[in-house]
Amino acid sequence: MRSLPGFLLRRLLLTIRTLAGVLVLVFALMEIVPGDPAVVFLGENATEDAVRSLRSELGLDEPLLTRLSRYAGGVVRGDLGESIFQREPVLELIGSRLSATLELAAAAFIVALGAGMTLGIASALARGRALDVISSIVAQLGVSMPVFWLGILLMAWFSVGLRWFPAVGRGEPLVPALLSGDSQVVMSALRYLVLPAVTLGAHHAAVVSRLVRASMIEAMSEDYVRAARARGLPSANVVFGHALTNAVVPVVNVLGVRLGALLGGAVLTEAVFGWPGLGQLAVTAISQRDFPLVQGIVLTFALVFILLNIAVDAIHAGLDPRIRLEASSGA
Amino acid sequence: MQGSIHGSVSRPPQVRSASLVIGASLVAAVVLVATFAPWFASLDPDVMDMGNRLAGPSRDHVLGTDNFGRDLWSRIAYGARVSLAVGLGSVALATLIGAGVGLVSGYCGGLVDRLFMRVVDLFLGFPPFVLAMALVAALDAGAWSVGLALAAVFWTEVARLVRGITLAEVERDHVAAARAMGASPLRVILRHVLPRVAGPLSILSTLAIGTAIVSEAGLSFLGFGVQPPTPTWGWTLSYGMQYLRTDMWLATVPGLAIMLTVLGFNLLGDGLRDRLDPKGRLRHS
Repeated sequence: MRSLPGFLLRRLLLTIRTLAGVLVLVFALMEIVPGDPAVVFLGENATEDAVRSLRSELGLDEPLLTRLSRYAGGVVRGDLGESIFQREPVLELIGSRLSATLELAAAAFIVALGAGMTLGIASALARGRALDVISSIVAQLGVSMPVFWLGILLMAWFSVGLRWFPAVGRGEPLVPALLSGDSQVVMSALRYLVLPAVTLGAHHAAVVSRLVRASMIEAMSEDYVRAARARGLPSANVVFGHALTNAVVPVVNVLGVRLGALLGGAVLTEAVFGWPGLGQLAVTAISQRDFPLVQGIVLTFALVFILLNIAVDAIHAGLDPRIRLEASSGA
Repeated sequence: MQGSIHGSVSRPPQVRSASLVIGASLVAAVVLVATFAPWFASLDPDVMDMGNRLAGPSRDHVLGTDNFGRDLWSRIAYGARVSLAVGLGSVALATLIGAGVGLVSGYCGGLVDRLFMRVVDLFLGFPPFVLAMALVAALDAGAWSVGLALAAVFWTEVARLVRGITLAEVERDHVAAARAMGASPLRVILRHVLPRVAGPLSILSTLAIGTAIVSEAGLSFLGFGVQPPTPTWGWTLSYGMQYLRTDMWLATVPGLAIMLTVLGFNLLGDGLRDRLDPKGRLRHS
């Protein structure tokens, strides 16, 4: 299977196996709750009737395997159960929040890629000079700075102090706003999105900039780049047309690995900016010990993470045919 | 893990040479403050003085007081204990489990290897922080739960690294010779494989401590970590956020403490890699 579709098919089949395992692990979360989960979820003061009713509702009075097969069957049919506290189907609750998280993650990804690549290229071209040293220090600080602290600082400066951006909440969803063609609606959506996206993207921009720098320095010393220079090609052509094209491959690979951190960071960013996404729903669900909802959210995060990884793998394999060969030889 | 992709070539030589010294100094400073917190901070971090709440820095309170009138420097100094204990504890546990799995998986190969790697893949199917949150939700908040949850997140990366190195090592001539001479698997692992694993493992673990500390602070920030009144940096930051308009200092200090500590471990990890793994073997494992 050396073709891209073949590679993707194999990757998807492997994903089904991973998803089955993820589902079992999510189900097992309920099993590691110390004591009687129904008592834990409802609190020590709950009446016996309420506890009995919840036990029955969660199927806790049934054998483990029966519960697992019922849960798995439900997930396959799109039934993730009902929230204990909100009394609404878990899938609907997740559906109402997922787009906000994806919008934030996508915007942060663009920030990370844009800022990271710019800084990385500039740093590589100024290797060993002041700009390189400064950008390296900034990147090291960016990697070490907790995402929620950066969010608080940006909020204090740009929302509370300068009042340039709203401190909390979300405006119109960005994609419908863009489709509406109304510039005021788009601007309103962007004003809410900028600070959370910069907060979430900054850490990853720092990582990308270091990677791009390293990849560019390696690529610039390759024979094909030296040959391009020797042929008298313009410097910009050599940098962007030759070196960067090859330097971007390892960056894509690492970005795939970083996606998990991006989604985890989204939870914290949403908490800081009151962004009404899946992360905020998770925080509420965990605080209320609403376990069916927690399970549904964790499963959704895992699904999104796995699908995004497949997308990154596809891009990676498209950029570098050796990946497809390695995958087929390893099969 | 946060710093694990920073190969030597990704930093200019001026920064590389300073990494180890600055990192080790920062880590040593935090460890000192945490270990001798009662000496560095003479005030009880839990004693409230409501008449003196949100006070600015003064001779009595070097960093001022929080919203309950508690001495902020004392809470930062004692909070370092929680951060370090959870960070070091979770990474030690993850290293123990991950190294065990990696060594056995790489040495045995075949079915055992495939089985262990399936389990690793399973854990890698989750965004790490989300998995940690879910585990803390199940286990209930507290230092032990957070430590266990973070260990459950970090062990997979250790296992993959150790397995990769072990797979390469068991193919080498001196290991084949030891096996041919009848050395037991345990002896081969301890005498021939483990020494090769130790360097990269120490780098990865150092970098992981920084990530574990920031993850613990993140969980505390959300209210799922070690519970009040125990002083933690994440929790201090969380309630400091409510006073951004008037007392920005309250959110600045704990954030700075977290950042400097994480920076220390990242620089130390990078510095160790420059010394122990100059060819970037860890980066490619």
